[in-house]
Amino acid sequence: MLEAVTSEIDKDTDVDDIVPAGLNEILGRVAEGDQAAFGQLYDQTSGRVFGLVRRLLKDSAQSEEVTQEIFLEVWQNAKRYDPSKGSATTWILTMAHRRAVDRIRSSQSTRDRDQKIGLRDLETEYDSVSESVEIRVEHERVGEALKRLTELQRQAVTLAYYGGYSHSEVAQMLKVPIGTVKTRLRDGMIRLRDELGVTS
Amino acid sequence: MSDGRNSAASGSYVLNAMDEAEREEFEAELAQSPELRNEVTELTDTAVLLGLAVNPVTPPPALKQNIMARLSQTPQLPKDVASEPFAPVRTLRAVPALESEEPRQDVAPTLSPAATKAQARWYSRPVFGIAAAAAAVALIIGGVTTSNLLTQSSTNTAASQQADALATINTASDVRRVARSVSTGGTATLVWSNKLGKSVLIGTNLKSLPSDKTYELWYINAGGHATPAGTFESNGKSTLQALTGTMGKGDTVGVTVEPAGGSKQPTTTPVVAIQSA
Repeated sequence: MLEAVTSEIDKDTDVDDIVPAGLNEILGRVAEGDQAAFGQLYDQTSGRVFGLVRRLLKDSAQSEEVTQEIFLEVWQNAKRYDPSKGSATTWILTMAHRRAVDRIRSSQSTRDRDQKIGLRDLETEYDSVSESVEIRVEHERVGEALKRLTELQRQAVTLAYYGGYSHSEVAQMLKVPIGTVKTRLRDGMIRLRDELGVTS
Repeated sequence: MSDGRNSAASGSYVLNAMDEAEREEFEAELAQSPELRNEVTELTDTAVLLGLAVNPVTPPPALKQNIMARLSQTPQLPKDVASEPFAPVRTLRAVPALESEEPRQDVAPTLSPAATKAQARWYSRPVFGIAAAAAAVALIIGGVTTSNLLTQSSTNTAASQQADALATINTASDVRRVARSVSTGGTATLVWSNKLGKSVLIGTNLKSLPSDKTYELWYINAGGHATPAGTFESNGKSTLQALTGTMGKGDTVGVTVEPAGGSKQPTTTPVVAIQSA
């Protein structure tokens, strides 16, 4: 699954940089209550988690809070992590994205602010997002794959994933029906999956 | 796929672009469709690659210190707890659905080993359900040291006992959950096991009370007799309170507002009453 994908990425990039070797094993030790192992796990993944959370929340203080919640959650649930169901990276980053989005949704002021932002401003938002993804040499494949989406697919996927917007918010921003956004999100993700060679 | 209405929404699902009601609806469909689960598994991994494309940012060193300092006060949840132990905290509206889903927990282990990885993965929703659940616990346990969340459980030991009590009930084969709104605001979810004769009340957004008042729990039997089952405070967010004493089969659990310290018999009308049958 993710291992298969990253081994492909490995052809172009250093896999240790993407999925630190032995993370699953370290998580296994964390599950036994090993705090030192947790420290290692934190060192190997906190940059990824914090980077993603801050991308979504923008605010550093909130991002630190949410990152702390995520790592305590990793600690609490480590015994429940089952490597046969996906890599540790998938487990942790999926949790991180969900938590960051939860924080965005729970913050009414953020929502209010977002509602006031017009599409013009949001174009800047996703342009900067996609640009910063695309120019990143180390993850060129993801950037390249994103480029192969249609414009609307790419806008919808990046607004949802990197902006933390709900599909109804995306529909409002892009001024298209929500059904269209759902379809674009699914088609866009399937296209990315195929471009990146993700199979279960 | 039950009706195909949501199957086109797998992209929204893995991107966390749904609201709670849509998510519940989609997950119900997910539970019934192996094809959809496969797709969601693959798209989840794809979403992770989007995450890995973000520039890592090293958090301030103090963050690691804070987290490490909390580990010893943060109990690790047991491996064998039911797959969606605290889902009602996240989705109180979905209680009937959760009850109808309960047989799944019995069915899941009988799946052949050939059941796909994806099936196993999404059947038990290891990430989302538990993640949301654990956040509730993290909030509660973390709150003890920071925001006096569980004022009654003013020690970490007491807080972890509450979490343990919930975990124990959740491991019972006959665990049940019911959520009700509270007349003064917020929602109360009762999690109980008749076999164990134990129950836990999870309060969400219960109004915080003045210092001379307290919430008091009661077991009320069929004859209408109320037995005190402990008191608790709310900071307006989340509370987790194991009831003291033994729950009788079919007992109603009531919550009243009482003078600080609690009463021997209810002195006010319950703000919520949950029948456990």
